[in-house]
Amino acid sequence: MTPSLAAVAGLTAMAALSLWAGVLARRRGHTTSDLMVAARAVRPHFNAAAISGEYLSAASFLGIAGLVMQFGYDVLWYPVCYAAGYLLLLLFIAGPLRRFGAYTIPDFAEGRFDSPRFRRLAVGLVLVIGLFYTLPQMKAAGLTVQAASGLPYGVGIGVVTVVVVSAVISGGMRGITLVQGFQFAVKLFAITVPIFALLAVLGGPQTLLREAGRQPLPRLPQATTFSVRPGELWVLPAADAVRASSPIAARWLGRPPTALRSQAPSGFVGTPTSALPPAGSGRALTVRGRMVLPAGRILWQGSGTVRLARGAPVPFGDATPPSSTARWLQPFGPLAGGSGHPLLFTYSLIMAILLGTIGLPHILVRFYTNPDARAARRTALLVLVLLGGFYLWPPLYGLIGRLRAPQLYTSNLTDAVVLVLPRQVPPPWLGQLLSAVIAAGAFAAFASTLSGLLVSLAGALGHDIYGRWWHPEAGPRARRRAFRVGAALAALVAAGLGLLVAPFDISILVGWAFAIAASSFFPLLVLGLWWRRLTLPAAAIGVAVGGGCATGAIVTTMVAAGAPPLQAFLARHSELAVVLAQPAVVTVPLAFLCMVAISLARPRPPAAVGAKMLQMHAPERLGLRRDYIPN
Amino acid sequence: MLPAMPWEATLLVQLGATALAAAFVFVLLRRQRHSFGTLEERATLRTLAFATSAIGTLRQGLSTRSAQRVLRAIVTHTGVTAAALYDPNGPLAFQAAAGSPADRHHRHLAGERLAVLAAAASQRLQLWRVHADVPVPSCRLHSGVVAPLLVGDRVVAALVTYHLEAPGPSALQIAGDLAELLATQLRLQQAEEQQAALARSELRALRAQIAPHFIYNTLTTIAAFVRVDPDRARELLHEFADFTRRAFRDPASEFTTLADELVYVHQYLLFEQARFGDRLTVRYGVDPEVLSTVVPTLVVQPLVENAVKHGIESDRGRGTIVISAEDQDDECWIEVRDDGAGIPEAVEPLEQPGALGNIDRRLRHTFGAGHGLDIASRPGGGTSVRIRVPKYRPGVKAS
Repeated sequence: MTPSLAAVAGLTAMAALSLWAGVLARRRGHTTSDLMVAARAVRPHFNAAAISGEYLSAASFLGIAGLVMQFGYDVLWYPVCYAAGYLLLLLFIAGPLRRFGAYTIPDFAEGRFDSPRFRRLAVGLVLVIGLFYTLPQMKAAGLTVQAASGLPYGVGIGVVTVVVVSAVISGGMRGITLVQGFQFAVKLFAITVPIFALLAVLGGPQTLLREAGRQPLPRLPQATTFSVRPGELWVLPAADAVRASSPIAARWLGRPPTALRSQAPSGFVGTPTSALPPAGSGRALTVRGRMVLPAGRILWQGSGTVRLARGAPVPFGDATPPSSTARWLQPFGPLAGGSGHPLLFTYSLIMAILLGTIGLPHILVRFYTNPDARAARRTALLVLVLLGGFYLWPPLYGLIGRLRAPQLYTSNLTDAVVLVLPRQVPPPWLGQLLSAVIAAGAFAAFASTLSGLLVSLAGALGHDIYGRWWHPEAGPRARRRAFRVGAALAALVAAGLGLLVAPFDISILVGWAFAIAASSFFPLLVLGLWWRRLTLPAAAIGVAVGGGCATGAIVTTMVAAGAPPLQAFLARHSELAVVLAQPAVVTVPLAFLCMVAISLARPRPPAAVGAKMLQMHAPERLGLRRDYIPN
Repeated sequence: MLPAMPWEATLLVQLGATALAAAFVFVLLRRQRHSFGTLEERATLRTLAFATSAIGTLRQGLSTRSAQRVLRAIVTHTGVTAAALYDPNGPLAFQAAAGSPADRHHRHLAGERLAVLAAAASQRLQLWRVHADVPVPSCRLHSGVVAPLLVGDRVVAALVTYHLEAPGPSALQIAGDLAELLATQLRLQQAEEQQAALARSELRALRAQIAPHFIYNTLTTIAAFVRVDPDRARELLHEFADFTRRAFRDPASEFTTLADELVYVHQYLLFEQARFGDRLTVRYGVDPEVLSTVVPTLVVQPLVENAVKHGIESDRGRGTIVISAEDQDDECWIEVRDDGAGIPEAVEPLEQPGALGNIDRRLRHTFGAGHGLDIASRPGGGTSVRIRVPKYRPGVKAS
């Protein structure tokens, strides 16, 4: 990918702007003021914009488009459920949780059951979920810097980590409502303006869909030169005429056993579809001059450049299973269908993302800012509207990417499709400008979510683990220092792990964070808020079992990507592979079952549960909470 | 060699084996629990179990319901035939052991009321003959032990244990110890009540402190405006009416939101600014994110009042007050700063009579020892008082 000066400028400008806005917002209060202080309370629409700004992470901004480009129709569940999760939040959680007054989920766990020990369990899960959610942001950071400037992936992660951590530590990029709301505006602007320009140039969605339907396989829109390196794998869905600059050694490994019909089972988690075959297998081949490559898998063994003509079928890399456009445009396509159990996979995916939204630690804290339950519900509704407006656009990038930037299939960089496409808008200066805008939006996406997550993680490490258990007597200074150390520590761990997760798709990684949240905090919140008979042991066991099983399943899947024997085992037991890769369909009911069964078997509701239920559910205007100022 | 099994069968066999092993361990554990310890150890355990079960009950105070539960525990665990609890007005509850002949005795309770109360008033353990004056042939109870429950030097209740024959010294001992255990619980309960009452009365005292001099000053200020600027005077009077209504409302509400507290502060400062004119500058720096934080009632206003007093009234006659509330992750930091004379080094501000010590005590009582007032002052360089309020603490809610 060619670096773009404009995109680098966009990135830098956005970084500077976020820092500046943070500093400005910190200082804004210190002015002479006769305004009534209460009039400054955060209004629901501001809060909704801030929540949306914090929520729209790299997975929404980059990941969805990349995943749509790879897998097509099935991926639409992601944007739909990312937004629809707030419907559940609106219906079941926002109001009662606000009345209860808890700030974090551990606060709720402790307050509802009067158990500081249960709080520790919840803090542990906050750390796990937060870390899982940080990884894809790291990957997005590496990718964005790589796409904009051509620097290596690891350098991008390093640079962004340093910028965001120093911002969090100095207090410049904290969860200030106005700043986060501003970030949402930037993201919405950055995703819509380039897509409107692209649609104006290429024709509307209907035209594009018809165009896609006309080509059974993605074809290169113009003649393209690929540089190949030893070890790179190409999957050619059809024979391809190529011109090599110099003779390049390669091996032809034959057609993949299931090419174009169904894929190797691990394709559906976004990991490499084919482990390298044993050395020496296949047929040796030397690519020189003009020749026709046979359909099937080509493993390059030398380096050089290969030119493909306009209209040639695109060679796929090893991250994307090649699929016909007909399958790509249908439900149960390569993503869900690749698992062998499309319905199970789809239900599990829907459950994880729909229910996981509620358990994300850095989102719920924002609802605390609302003055009452009414405002909290109104905020959730507005978030639903704002997110709905945003999620219309990313899938279109995926569609255009399949038509206009299919070379990303070859380089395994489909996650960068949003960053690459705007450069194609003529004239060149406009393309450059738009790519600067989109780079700025991408920065806003991962930086705001990353900073929100780091604040959550650092809070758990610094305030809970250090400030409550190690040194309960620590003063404010020690606590602040612990918070900063916690932020740096969390960022370091996340950056280190971020280097390892490069082969996984951003949205798949985010989906895993959602699955863990859905299996642990969602049952806790729903039953804790609505079922008075939930007991402490039942809640603790349910959270531990649900969260533990989901984490275990996901870690197994991740390990399997690098361990061929395990991968082969999972390939033989495809039900198990689906359930491990998308555990929610098993772990969410399991957590509910544990909580309900244990509560009923040993009925011992916590003390004063009646008063707590009343506090959570009685509308404020009944006057059961007597306000300081009657109106 | 075994024939190769399909993996489902392997799984099934494994599951079965696991279930068997689990059942075995379960049975082992149950047996162990039942054959636990020697005779004395088990007796000790029973006693301890009784003590803990009785402890919680009376902490909620003495009522028919709590008395019933305590008596049930006593009768099942100590082997007395029957027991009753009396308060100074008469019997609260009576409980006989299951199947004991004392079961019908509860009908005779009214008749022995005077005798029991008289025995309890002696403040000592008393042996007393049941139905001594009017024999009831159908009742087989022989005698009772009356043990008074003393809180301070007052008899608040009496425990009566009934016996089928004359009780020996150990029975007397048991009754006395039981009464002591129950009395301890009642004392604890009373201490808790007193502590809460103390916090409430401190709050009331704070409210009362505002009144005299402040009302005087404000009314004088308004009076000064009546001729010069009648509109402003009228406006101030309205505000003042509203302020007083708020100040004297419901002394029981211990917590409020920071937004409400700041409205109150703002209103208070309105009068002070009217009084001092442009000699008093007030600046607010409030993060809107923390306005919904729940804070103890009247923690900010007295600090502001203090700042006005020291920042302006003391010497230079001109000053600035900065009120800020910052969002610090899971806490809200409130600071009131003035640029006045500062506190002399010899003076320990929290030990002076007045609002500061009161606020400090209430904050520590509510949020823990680490959350008292943080006062920084340099003579001549102003004073800053800071409060750290956790955004959530179980039991703290605006009421």
